[in-house]
Amino acid sequence: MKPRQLCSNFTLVEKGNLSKSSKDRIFNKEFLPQMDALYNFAFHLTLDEDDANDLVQETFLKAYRFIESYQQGTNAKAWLFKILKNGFINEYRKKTKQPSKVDYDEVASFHDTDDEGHVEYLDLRHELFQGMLGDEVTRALNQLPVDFKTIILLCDIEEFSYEEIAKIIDIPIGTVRSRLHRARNILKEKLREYAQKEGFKEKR
Amino acid sequence: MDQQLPKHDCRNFVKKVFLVLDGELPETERNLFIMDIQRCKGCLEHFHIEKTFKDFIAAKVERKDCSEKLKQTIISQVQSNPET
Repeated sequence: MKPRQLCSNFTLVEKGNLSKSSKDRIFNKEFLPQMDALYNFAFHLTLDEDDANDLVQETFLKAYRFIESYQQGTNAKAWLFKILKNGFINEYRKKTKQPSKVDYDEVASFHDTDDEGHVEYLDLRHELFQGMLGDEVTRALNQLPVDFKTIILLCDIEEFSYEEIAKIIDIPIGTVRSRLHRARNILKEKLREYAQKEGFKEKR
Repeated sequence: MDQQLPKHDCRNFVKKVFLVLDGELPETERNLFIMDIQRCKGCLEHFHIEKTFKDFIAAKVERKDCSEKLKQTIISQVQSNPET
């Protein structure tokens, strides 16, 4: 388990009680070290360097502006990721007119159907994917519908807990689990298709 | 050791495997899970497949770092912010 205190206030409020030097201190100490992680997330969401630059810049400027909503010493990374995710939804998804491609009715909850056994697993043998390169895996991830890609980035790449992910993307923890399960299966399927196309042998 | 564990049920594996791999279970429960799956070849094999897959994704997905230019732009914009 990853015991990290969540920032209690995810609502952005401008107050005006902190001095500029206090704000700068928090910004430099807690926010700046997250810049690479934020950029990586932004790049995978937008798939464009300029858009990622804009999104990260907006995120940090907004974080500074609303810095008093942040509880010093708590979870700056999760707080910043939430601001970035909201910025992405508000600006970039509208701009690119990307509809949400996830059909949630189709996402059968893993946990509601626990009377199944191993058949539920989309198997991907070690040998099938170990020869793959980073480029191929990155491409497969980037092709996922954005909500599925987001949850894999937050869990498997950034190692956020389910509770943190739930707060960042505003969904219940149960949905985090089911969406993650579905996302991993889709990613496996993409990698399997790729591996088969490239002639990797699948053991069954 | 088996005497302390309830009868193995593969459905329990299905329910918990990702919670274990994602670090969502307390250590005691995690340890019980690991002991339990030693008794089922299928569960053990699936556990290793899922673990390998998770590690594989974390290792292979390309990470993009923020450019120095962007870092400096953001820092200078914040520093020049007159807000007190």
